[in-house]
This record gives sequence, structure tokens and C-alpha cells, in this order.
Amino acid sequence: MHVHNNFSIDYQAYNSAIRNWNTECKLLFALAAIITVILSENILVSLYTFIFMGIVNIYIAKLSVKEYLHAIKIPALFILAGSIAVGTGFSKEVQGICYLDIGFAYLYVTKESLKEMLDIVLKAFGAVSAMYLVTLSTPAGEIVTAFKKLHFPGIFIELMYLVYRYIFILFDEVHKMRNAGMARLGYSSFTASCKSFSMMLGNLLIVSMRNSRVYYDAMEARCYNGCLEFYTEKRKCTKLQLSVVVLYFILLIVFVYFCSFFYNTGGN
Amino acid sequence: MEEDFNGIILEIKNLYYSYDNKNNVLKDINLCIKKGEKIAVLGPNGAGKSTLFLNINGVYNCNSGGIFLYGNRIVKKNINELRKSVGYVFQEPDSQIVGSTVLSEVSFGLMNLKFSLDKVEEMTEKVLKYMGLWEYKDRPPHYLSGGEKKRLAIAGVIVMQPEVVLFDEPMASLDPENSLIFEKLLPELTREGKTVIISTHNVDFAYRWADRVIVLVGGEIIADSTPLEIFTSEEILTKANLHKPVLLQVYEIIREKYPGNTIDYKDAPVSVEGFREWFNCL
Amino acid sequence: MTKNEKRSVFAAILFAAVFGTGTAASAMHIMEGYLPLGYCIAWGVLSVPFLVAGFISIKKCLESNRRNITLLAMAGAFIFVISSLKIPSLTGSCSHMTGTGLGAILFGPAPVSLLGIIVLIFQAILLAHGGITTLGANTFSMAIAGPLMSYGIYKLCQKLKVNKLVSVFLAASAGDLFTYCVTSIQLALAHNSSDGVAAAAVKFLGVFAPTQLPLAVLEGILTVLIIMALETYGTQELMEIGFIKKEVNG
Repeated sequence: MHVHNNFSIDYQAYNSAIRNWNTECKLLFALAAIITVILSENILVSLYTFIFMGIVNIYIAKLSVKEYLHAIKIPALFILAGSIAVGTGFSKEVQGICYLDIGFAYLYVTKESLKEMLDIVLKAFGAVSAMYLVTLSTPAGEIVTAFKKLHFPGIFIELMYLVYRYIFILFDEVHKMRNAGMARLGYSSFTASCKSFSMMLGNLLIVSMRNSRVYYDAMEARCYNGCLEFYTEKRKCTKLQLSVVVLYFILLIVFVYFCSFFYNTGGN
Repeated sequence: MEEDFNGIILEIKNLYYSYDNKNNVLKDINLCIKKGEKIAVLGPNGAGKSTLFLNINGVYNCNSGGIFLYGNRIVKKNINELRKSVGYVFQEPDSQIVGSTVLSEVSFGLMNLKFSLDKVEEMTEKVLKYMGLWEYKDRPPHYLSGGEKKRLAIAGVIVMQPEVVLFDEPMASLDPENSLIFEKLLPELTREGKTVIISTHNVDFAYRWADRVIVLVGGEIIADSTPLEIFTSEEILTKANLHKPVLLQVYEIIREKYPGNTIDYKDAPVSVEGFREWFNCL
Repeated sequence: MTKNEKRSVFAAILFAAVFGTGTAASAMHIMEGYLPLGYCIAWGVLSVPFLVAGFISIKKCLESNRRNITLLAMAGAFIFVISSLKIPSLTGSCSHMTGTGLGAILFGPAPVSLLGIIVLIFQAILLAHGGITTLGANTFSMAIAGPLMSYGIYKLCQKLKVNKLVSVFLAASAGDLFTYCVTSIQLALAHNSSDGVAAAAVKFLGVFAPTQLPLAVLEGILTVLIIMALETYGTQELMEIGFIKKEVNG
């Protein structure tokens, strides 16, 4: 069994303990949680969501802590880079609670900008962890099926099914071509790398376009007539799943209420 | 229904096919395919084997001539009848697999045939168990091995219960173990009364398995007969650039060495077991 | 640009170079949770007309020949694959092409908009690049603005009879740069409390410049090399595949 390094998320989704949860339920729950985080403009809500989703992902979806941290690390770089821009300002004069003399100007942070930075970092992590509830537990094919049930346009759904399938065919091809290229020292220097890389991709495009005709023949050979349909196992929305959703919102209110009570800066 | 046609499922009459309306890839193909036959199609690359299969399966429409399914001429309207009755297992499983899990992949053909969901569930389960893929039913095709993918591709075709199954070079990418699994599957298909047509470069396999061999060269059928007749004709073998099956060569060598025996091929063994028996009786 | 702003840009670059070394350059996807809901919706709404245009063009393409569906899906998968492959790099940092410039040159901007949103959805699902609520904004910058710019530049160059490979280079790099600018503006519009939209935009541009500027050049070079490879290996195929022919060989 060949597992692509880039696709650890895909692989984890197939092995998730909550894979059999109802996909629409997961999707709508995650979306609701993300929107709650974005709308609330409240650090506590973000923090709470991050913790709650982490617990669900680790204890219920049975991801190992290592796997989960690895997944969280993926967007971390963007989040941090972006937040630097949010959290700092430039000025000719010294201002803010802390500044850095960079020769011709001062790089400063204020209490407000720091708070905004913290706010956005937590918001992003909260939202990402909610999204992970879906993507780390739901194979992409099933997400497309859920889109279908939610009445996305037919062509769009068909393209999504096929694109998902072809992505892995292409990656297998890339894998083979890369190895062949390596064997011929095609990646020994930067220039050689650029050449081999583009040559491989040009080749890949030609070969895959030629193959795409065969793929259509093969679909027609099995009586495909313009409507891609698959049988999928029913994923029931159980009481356990609903109770997780309800628990999220109940604990949200409790957590935010108590924290605001003790630490009176959390509110808007 | 079949009885009315003396077991003839398919008839192909004067079929011509070209991709560009200029050069015929298939020329004047005439074939009569009966229930339960085991047919090997031999011929060099580019001889038109895959094109022939795509015509027989109804994906390509011939330029002239026609295909008759139980005596009914296939036209655009009933083309799905042909595609349903003739299943086509492609050479590369990846070109065939569209579903994002094993289960949904196998259901694809049945969904196209508009079976009820209960029926689809029942039939896919049966086929997956038959092909030893049931434990993988939720697995996506990209996490299957080459042999498993091949079995999945076969499952996706035979679940539609075709009467004729076409295999395009089925063993080309299989390791010995999976080739063996595949060869064990063939008698079962035959026992179920299915006609099996296999295109292959493996003359030894064709010799031991087939009861009829069709030789295709340059888009034309140059021979259509029993394996023995085909493989003992130097003319055909040269034309199609084919080797003589090893077992047959060995048989000839031994026959020549034993004086007083003329080679009449009547007792030529087709399998290693058959050979042992024959050799012991000498 | 005032003297002060110029300095700001420089400082921002310096700052990011110090603090953001090794930052993954797939960073041009705006992450989940990074935009307020109003902006999420606004960018989504703004993308809709372009997506509808893409939808109509794809529908037409399929009506003319149903068989094109696998070809289009393959094009989408290809864009995904090139956008997720680690490209050769001098510094050892990990960066990716966008691939949409190449897509726009080969297939035209309309289909690429719809294929682009599909690619973005899969990037969010499979690679955790971008997100669902930020899909509208990302679609606008990466699947609409960038490809449109690439296509526009390419067509303009063709009109001006610029050498084809030079036009491809300019088109692909410009598309990349434009995507990067649009994303920075999108971020600045949403996060500018301390010093206004313009200054915030400069800050975001600065933070991402160290990775995005070389990347744009590299994207241009690689796209040229890919087009060259396509022309060497695949003239036959490109001729056969109807709608690429007029773009590449015309």
C-alpha cells in the first residue's frame, strides 16, 4: 500500500474512528462552529473551540496527539506570518508598549495591536481545528457526496468526483517519473532540477490528457450516460453525534460566562 | 432466448472501423461468439485488439457492417444492451476505476443500469466477497495494491452480470501470485456460463486456456480456429510474429526423438499435468 | 509612494526576512478564520459572476462533446498536482507554483475559474491550505484575478507580437504577482485597525514578499519550460486535443 506523504490528511480520514459519522452533520457542525468563532469576536470562544475540537479529534476521532499536532502545524506558518503584519506598526516616533529600532524607523507593538494579533491567531486556530473535525475524519469522496445531497450543480459534482480520483492517478505518475528522473541525476543541481521538473510536468500533462480519453471510454463501457452515480453506505446521524454538537454549544456558553466572570476583559 | 440462436450471443458482420474516416483500424471483421466460449485474441501491438474490444463492447460505433446481439442489430437506441451484455476489463485498472471507495466503484455500473439501491447493495456485496475484496470495501482505490486494483476492476465489470467478458491483456501488470489468482478465476467464469475473451501476448497461456484462438494482424482477422491448429501453422505464426507455445515445442522435440512416431498432434498435451501423463505413457 | 512608505516596504521585507525565514510559500491561501464573515460573503458574492461564466463555458464545452468531461477533470487534477508539488528551490525553502497561470494560458480563464474553485476546495480538504469560509476570497484571488491577469497579459503580448516564450513568462509571473497583491489587499481590508488600509496592505505585501517575489519569477520560468516541454513532446497530442491547439500552436 502506497501512502503519499503529502496526503497524510487523506489517509487519516480513511482511518478515523468517526468516519462513519453522518457527513452532513459533521460539515454543518464544523461550519456552525467556524461561524460562531468568526462572529463572536471573542478570544475565549476561539480558545474554547480550539480546545473542544482538539479533544474531539484526539479522544473521539482517535487521532494520535502527534498526528494532530502535525496537522495543526500545516497552517501555523501562514497564521504566524499573517499575524506579524497585523500585530505590528511602523513609525518615525517611539510609541507602543514595546518597540524595535530598525535604523530608520521604529517597529512597534501596542497593547491593542497585540490583542488583535492574539485574537486573530486564536480565531484562525479555532476555525482550523473545527475544519479538521471534518477533513481529518471524512474522505474527500464522501464530502463530495454530501455536496451532492446539498444540491450543488451536477457538472460541478461530477468534476469533483473525477478530479479527486485523477489527483491520485497523477501523483502515482509523478512518483514514477520522479524516481526515473532521480535515477538519471535529473535533480542534481538547481538548473537541472528546474528542467527535469518542468519536463516531467509537460510530459505528465500530455500523457494524462491522452489517458483521459481512455477513462471516458472505460466509463462508457459500463453504461455511463452522462450522470455519475455511486452507491454509498448510509451514514446515520446518531444521538451521540447530536449530543456532541449540543455539548459544544452548552459548554461554550458555560465556559465563556465563567471566564468572563473571573477575567473581565474577555467580552466584546 | 439464447436457445433460439444456437447459443450464439454475438455476431459481428463485415465490421470496419477507423478513427479518422481514412485509415481502417479494423477491416472486414466477421465473428460469431457463442455462449461459454474461451477465446484468446493474439496479435502484435497496434493490431487493433483494443479497438476490436471497444467495438464489441459498444463504446465505439463501427463505420460499416454491424453487431448483432441475439440477432438484433445494435443501433444507438439499444447500445446499452450491448454494453450491459459485454463487459470490458481494461488493461490498466486505473483507467477504469472512477469510484472513491471500493464499494462505490463496484456500484458504478449498477447505478448506471438504474438498479434499485437494495439490489445494488446486495449485488455489490456478493461480488466483493466473491473477489475477496469485502474487507476493503471502504478503502479508496489509491490505497490498494496493483493486484487488488485489478480485482476491483474485474469486480466492477462482472457485477453487471455480462454474458461476455472481455479482458485486455489482463496479466500484463500482474505479479505471478496475482496472475495465478486471475487464472483460477477464469474456470469459475466459464462454469457460470460466461463467454470469456482475452487479448494476450502470452501464447503459453492462450494455448493452455483457450478453446478458440483469433489472430489479428493489421486490423484483419488472419486466423480463427482451435489453438492447436493456429500454433501448428508456421504460416500464421510467422505472419503474426508469434512464438510456438513451449509445451508444444517440447512435445514436438520428444515426438521427433521417439522413432516410429509421426507428429499428428492428436495427443498433444495442453497443460503441464497433461504433459506429465502423456510423457509417462510413452 | 512616499519616501516614508518606501522605507516601510523595505523594513517590512527586512522584518519578514528575519522573522519569516522558511515560511511556507503556499501561504497565499488565506486560512480558515482569518476573515470576518462579512468579507467572506462579500468575496464569495464577487466571485459568483465569474464562476457562472466558468460554469457556462464548461457546460458549452460538454454540450459540444460530452467526452470532454474527463479532459476537464484531468486539467483540474493537473492544476492541483502542480500547485502541491514542491518546486526546485535555491534556498531550500518549501514552495509551490499556483499553476493557474498555465491553466489560463492553455484553457482560457473561464473554465479555469470553475476548475480553480474545485482545486481550492481540495487544497482545503486534502492539504489544509485555505479554508471553507475563506473559499470565496481565495477563489477571487487565485482562480479569478490571477488567471485573468495571466490571460490578459498573454493575449496582449500576442497582439504585440512578443516572442511566445517571453509572453508565457510575463503572463505566468504577472498572474502570480497579481494573486499575491490581491490577497494582501484582501487581508488589509479586513485587518487594518492600527493604520488604515493602504499601510496595512503594504505590511502584508512586505511580509509575503520574500517568498512571493522569487516565486513569481520561478513560476514564470517553470511555466515557460513546461510549455516548451509540451511543444516538444506533445505537438501531436496538442493538435488532437482540439481546444489547446489554438492557444499553444496558434
